[in-house]
Amino acid sequence: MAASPPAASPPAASPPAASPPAAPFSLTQLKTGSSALIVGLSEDAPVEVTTRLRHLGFRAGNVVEARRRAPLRDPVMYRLLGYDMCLRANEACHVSVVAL
Amino acid sequence: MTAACHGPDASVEPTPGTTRIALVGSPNAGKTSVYNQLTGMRARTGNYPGVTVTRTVGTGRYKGPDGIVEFTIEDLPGTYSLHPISPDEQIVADVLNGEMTGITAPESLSVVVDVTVLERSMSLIAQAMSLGKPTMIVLTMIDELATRGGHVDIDAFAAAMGVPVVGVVGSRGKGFDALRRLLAAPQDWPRAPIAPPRDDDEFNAWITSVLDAARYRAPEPDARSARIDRLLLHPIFGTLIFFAVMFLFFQVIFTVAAPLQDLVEQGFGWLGTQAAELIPNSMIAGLVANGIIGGVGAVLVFIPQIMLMFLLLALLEDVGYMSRAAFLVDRVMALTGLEGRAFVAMLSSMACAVPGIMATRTMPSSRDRIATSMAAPLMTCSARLPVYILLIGLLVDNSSRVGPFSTQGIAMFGMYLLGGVSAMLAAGVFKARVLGGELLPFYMEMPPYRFPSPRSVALSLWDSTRAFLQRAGTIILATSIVLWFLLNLPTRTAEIAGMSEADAAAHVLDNSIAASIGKFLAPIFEPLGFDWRIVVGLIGAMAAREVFISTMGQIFAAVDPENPTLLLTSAAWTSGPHQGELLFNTPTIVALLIFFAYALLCMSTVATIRRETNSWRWPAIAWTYMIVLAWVGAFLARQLTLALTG
Repeated sequence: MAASPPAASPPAASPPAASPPAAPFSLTQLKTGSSALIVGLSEDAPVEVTTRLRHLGFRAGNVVEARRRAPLRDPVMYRLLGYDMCLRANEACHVSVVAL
Repeated sequence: MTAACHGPDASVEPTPGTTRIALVGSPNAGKTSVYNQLTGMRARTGNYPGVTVTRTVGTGRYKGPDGIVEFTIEDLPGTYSLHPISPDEQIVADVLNGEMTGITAPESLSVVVDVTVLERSMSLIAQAMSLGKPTMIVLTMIDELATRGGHVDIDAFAAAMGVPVVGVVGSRGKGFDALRRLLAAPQDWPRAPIAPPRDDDEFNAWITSVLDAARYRAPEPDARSARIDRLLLHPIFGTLIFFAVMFLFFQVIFTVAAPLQDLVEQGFGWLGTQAAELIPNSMIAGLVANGIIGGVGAVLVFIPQIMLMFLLLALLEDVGYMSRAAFLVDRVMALTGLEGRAFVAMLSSMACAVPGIMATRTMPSSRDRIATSMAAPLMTCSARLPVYILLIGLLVDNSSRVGPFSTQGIAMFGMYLLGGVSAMLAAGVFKARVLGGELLPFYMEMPPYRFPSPRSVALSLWDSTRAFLQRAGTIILATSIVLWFLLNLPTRTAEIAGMSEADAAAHVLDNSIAASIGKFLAPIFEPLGFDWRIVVGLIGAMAAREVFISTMGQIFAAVDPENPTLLLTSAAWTSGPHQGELLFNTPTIVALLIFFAYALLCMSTVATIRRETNSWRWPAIAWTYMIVLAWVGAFLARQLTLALTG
């Protein structure tokens, strides 16, 4: 198996460098209509759940917006990487975000 | 529906001597339309060994300079990830890794990706490429990317990825010549295995570098979908619209279909009369007019209703409203331990449990699928409708009203409510007590609203209608014929000589084979107030509920087939301790209604559960728990009604 991706020069990821470190909070607390930066996934969550969340795009470095909340508060429709994905609080609680 | 009946057999084996290419892609990526374009009508479906997941294998052809090259395409179930958490995804992983018994690993992979969500899909592409097989990428919806202001340089993307990439428009067949040429020679593909990323940062950096190299510009968010969602997913208006949509759904089905149903009914009535007049032999005339035309006609009357229901379901699904409905009701479904997508299956079950159970395939969890399949037959399906109409007609007067509402309408609504609540409770019990509480993570993609393609709506309408017609043409036709013989044999020609026509018919019926069976089983149903004639009706209804109507017609209307209801109201017990008492009194009718609400009197449903779960265990469990509920429920309802009415 080849060691590195075939892409050209992998540029360094650009984290929000200079801004003061904001306190992370759970994605479930993200207000409808606002966006946040994903900083990590809970270590306590089952690994298959965090793996799936990563593959769906819920991984550190991606920006997520809470777009709509269902009438009974759950689930919530999130937008990230140009598509809409609905999660229940049961899974969204494993995603930590910081305000942009 | 048709091909899937065969189950796992040789028909899904790849054509020998051709390379086998697996299509991998997430749901909604356009995988099915790519598959259909490549294989045409040469698709073969069956089940993967031991599981409910449909296996689809087809042959593609490429007309090259050296003649025609054939290749085998295996359409794997849609998946967002190759790290399985649901049984369906396990299939994808097992097939790709060659870990499924009897199925060798495909030689090469084709990852189908909706280019409008390319960034999201890079994860699946990377996972597929890390398997180390020859891999290529099919980018679908390149037309939509352009119209929404996005851009991708396909050649640069291929160069950055190190594998072949083809852009296609599945609906219009654009780009498929290039795709076929590639698929015909996977051995020539450049290969670029990727090591799994160490962490999120490294992975995101790689994605950014590839997308930059491909000069990828993501499309503008679909403004139209956002505008529509602002209304349709609004906490208050969205909920109101949801209820309005459901209300209209049933209004359309019951009101628009009614005149069409009358036409079908009249057509069959005319046909029956013609047959009775034209066939000289009275025995054959009876069989054709009452047994075949009457029996099948009683069922085909529902064809307009069924077609309308399927048309509306297909439209709601293709437009994208079903995902919205699932989103709105997910929290309510969660009370039963299920997820929003189970709602779609439950809703379809109001047409017929067969498509309802088939709709459970969209749910990732096999436990949810089984729980839903166990509960779906309790929803009030269109086959119960004629039975309810008949029984409620006997129970309450047509003109009776409660305020502005017809009492019959309220009783009918009550039956629908009973079915819905019972189904939810049953699903909850199965999920929590029988199947175990392991919860799969819930995630559901919300597709943009799209204009439904007339072709795909017509296809799904035709599929469901054909399935229903097949049922009418096989199970119901056979049952009607068998029942007619059972009710009319032996002929007792000598005994009825000299009797009036009505007396003769009654004598034959009373001494028929069906009567013997009914009388033998009658003691079991005596506590419910059912006599042997109702039992014969129930036996017929075991094939399909609607058969109850035609059987009651054959039994009670031997004298006057035009007006069976009148005879039912005056029918009395012919023997035993209740002799002379009215048979269809209020407690018995209530008991019958409850019995039909709960009993799994439908061979098609049994067969569908068998096919979808690939074992006789679940249909056996469903049939047993429902017949027990039906008997106990009918008994309690009868006792309650007796106590209330004195």
